[in-house]
Amino acid sequence: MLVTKLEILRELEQDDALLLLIPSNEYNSVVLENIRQLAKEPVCYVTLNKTFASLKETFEQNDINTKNIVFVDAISQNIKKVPKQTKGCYYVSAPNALTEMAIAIVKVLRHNFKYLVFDSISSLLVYQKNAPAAKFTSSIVNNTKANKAKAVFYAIKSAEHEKILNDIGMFVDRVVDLSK
Amino acid sequence: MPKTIMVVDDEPDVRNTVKTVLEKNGYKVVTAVNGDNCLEKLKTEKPDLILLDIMMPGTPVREIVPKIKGTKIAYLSVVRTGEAEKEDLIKNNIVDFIQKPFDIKELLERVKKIVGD
Repeated sequence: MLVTKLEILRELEQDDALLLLIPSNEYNSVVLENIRQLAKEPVCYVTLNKTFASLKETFEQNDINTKNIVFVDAISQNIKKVPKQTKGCYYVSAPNALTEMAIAIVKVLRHNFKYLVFDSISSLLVYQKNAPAAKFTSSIVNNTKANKAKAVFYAIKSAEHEKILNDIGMFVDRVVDLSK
Repeated sequence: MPKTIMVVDDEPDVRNTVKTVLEKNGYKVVTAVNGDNCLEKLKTEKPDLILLDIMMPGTPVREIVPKIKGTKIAYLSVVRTGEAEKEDLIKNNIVDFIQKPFDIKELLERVKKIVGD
C-alpha cells in the first residue's frame, strides 16, 4: 500500500477508533494526507510534537483548510508565553499534563466534533511512562465514543515501543500497520 | 583555556553523545539533566554556551531562560515550530535553534560558530 494514499475516511467508516502505526519516513506525508481528508468535517487535533503555529503554517502551505480544525497544543506553553486559549487553539501546559489535556479534549469534543486526531502516542511516550499513557489513551477513546466522534491515534512503528503499542491496540477498535 | 559548553538534556543518549563529541574537539563540557539542574550548576559553572533542550520534565524552559543571565543559549528541539515562531524565540541571549535529530558535524560547526574553537 502506498501509505500516503491511505483512505482514512473509508477506514473510519468501519471503526470508531484507529491506531495508525506509521513508518517514520512517511510520517509527515500521512499526517498531511489524513488531515486533508478529515478537515472537511470538524476535527479536534491534539499535538504533542509540533506547535499550533507550526501546524497551521504547514497545513495552510499545503492548501488544507484549517477553519474546521480546533487544536489542542501541549507544546507551546512550555517554550513561550501563550494564553490559555486563542482562536482555534487550546493550550495545555505540557505533554505530561494528562488531566489538563483530557479536559481540553473533552471540552472540544462536546461541540459536535466528528474526528479526533491524536499526534502522537510516540510523543506521549517521550514524556509518560507506559501505564499512564495506556490509561490516558483508553480514557480518550471512551470520551471520543461518548461524544459520537471518531478517533485516529498516530504512532511511529518502533521496536522500542512494541509492547506498549500492542497494549494500546487493545483500547482502539483496530490497529492499521502502514508498514505492511 | 578551552571553551565550556553546558549540555542540558533529559535524554542520557543525547547528553553523552554531545559531550563525547565536544570533548574530542577540545571543549570542556558540563551536563545537566533538566532546567532546574542547569540553574543549580550555573551557581558554580560559567559556560560560554548552553545547549538547552526545549522540552524537558520539570520547570518549563520559558521560565528557566529568563533566569540565565549573560550566557549564550542554543535551543535543541525535537519540537517543530513555525518559521515566525522560531524567529521570535531567537532573541536576547538565545542565539540558535537546532532541530533534533541533528547531524553531529553540523552541531559542532554551529557550536564553533557561536563560541569559536
